[in-house]
Amino acid sequence: MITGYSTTFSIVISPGEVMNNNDDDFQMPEIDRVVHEPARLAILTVLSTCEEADFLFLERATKLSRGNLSVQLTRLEDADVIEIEKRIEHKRTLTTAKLTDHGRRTLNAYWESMHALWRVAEDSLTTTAGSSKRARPPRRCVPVEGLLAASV
Amino acid sequence: MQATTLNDASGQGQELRYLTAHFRDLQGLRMAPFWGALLVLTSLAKASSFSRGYLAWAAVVFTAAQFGWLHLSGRWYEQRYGVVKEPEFPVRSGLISIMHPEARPTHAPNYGYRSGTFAVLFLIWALTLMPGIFLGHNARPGSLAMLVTAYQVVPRCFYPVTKDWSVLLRRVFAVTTVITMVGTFIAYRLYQMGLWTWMAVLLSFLLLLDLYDHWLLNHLLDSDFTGGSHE
Repeated sequence: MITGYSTTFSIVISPGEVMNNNDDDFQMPEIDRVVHEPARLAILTVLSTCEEADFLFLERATKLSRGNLSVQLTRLEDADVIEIEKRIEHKRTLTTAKLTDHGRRTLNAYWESMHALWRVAEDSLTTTAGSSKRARPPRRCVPVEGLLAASV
Repeated sequence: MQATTLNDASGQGQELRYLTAHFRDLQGLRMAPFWGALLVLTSLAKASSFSRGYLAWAAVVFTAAQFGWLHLSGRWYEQRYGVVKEPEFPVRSGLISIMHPEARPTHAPNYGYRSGTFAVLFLIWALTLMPGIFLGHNARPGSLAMLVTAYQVVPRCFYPVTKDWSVLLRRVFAVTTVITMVGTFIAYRLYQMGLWTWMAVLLSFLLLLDLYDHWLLNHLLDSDFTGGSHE
């Protein structure tokens, strides 16, 4: 059973320590805000695993309220990440969502960014552990909201 | 610490992927009533003086009714849990469950519980296994039942699982069932274990596995993957 958890935390990265990795031109990966929001990320995680899913399944799987889910789906559709289709099936309206090709590329790019960020964080921790007695340069905080809803 | 948190996040995402990819596999109530009905018939055959002919007919009727139930239960799951259309492309989780559409033949869009393959297996079951068992013919019920058990259970032992205990438990149950089935089959063939006892064990395990699948579906759907996110 998954219980509650915080959806916001920070990865603390020391720029000086990142420089130690021989990467003077290093830039923090750009995070796609459309994908990064936990609710939208959960929706995209579901849709990336199937061809399409209907509104009811998305509602149950993501535990979002109908209103919130509807808003998030609209935002994703506006960003051309998903396609929404409404059709009549078994005498009821079936609203389905599917990932677009652009959405799939966007999601893949997002995960590449997150993996890069992860590697930076791990390198930073490793370097910090190895040089704990040395003076440290000022730290820079990179907020990573909602990463806990992420999937790899 | 961050790496641990990220690993946790990754695990939750994997569970969401698992739930979506196995949405059809986890619909255990499609088959559970059938196993339950056969278990009752087997118990009646062992413990009472019912006519074997009646029991054989009842088994055939239950088998025929199961076709209808497959359709009805599919509709019920759609109305209660929603619809997920399986991917046309291979999913990265590398599922090899033969119930999973990834394993379907190219030109069989309904491969799975409603597939022709599954229907044919049911016909084989109905036409050979049931009369053979309940009428006392030498129909080698053990071999065929083992085949069906392998079809039902073995795939659950191999596909990738997540770190969630309930998903891991599904694999443990499946592996335990396979081991038990092999053990009881050997006991049945070599040590004169009673046919009804063996059938009862087999059907009980199939029933429990499918009931657990249904519970697992609800359990995963009750998990909060978004942490009450609002924007």
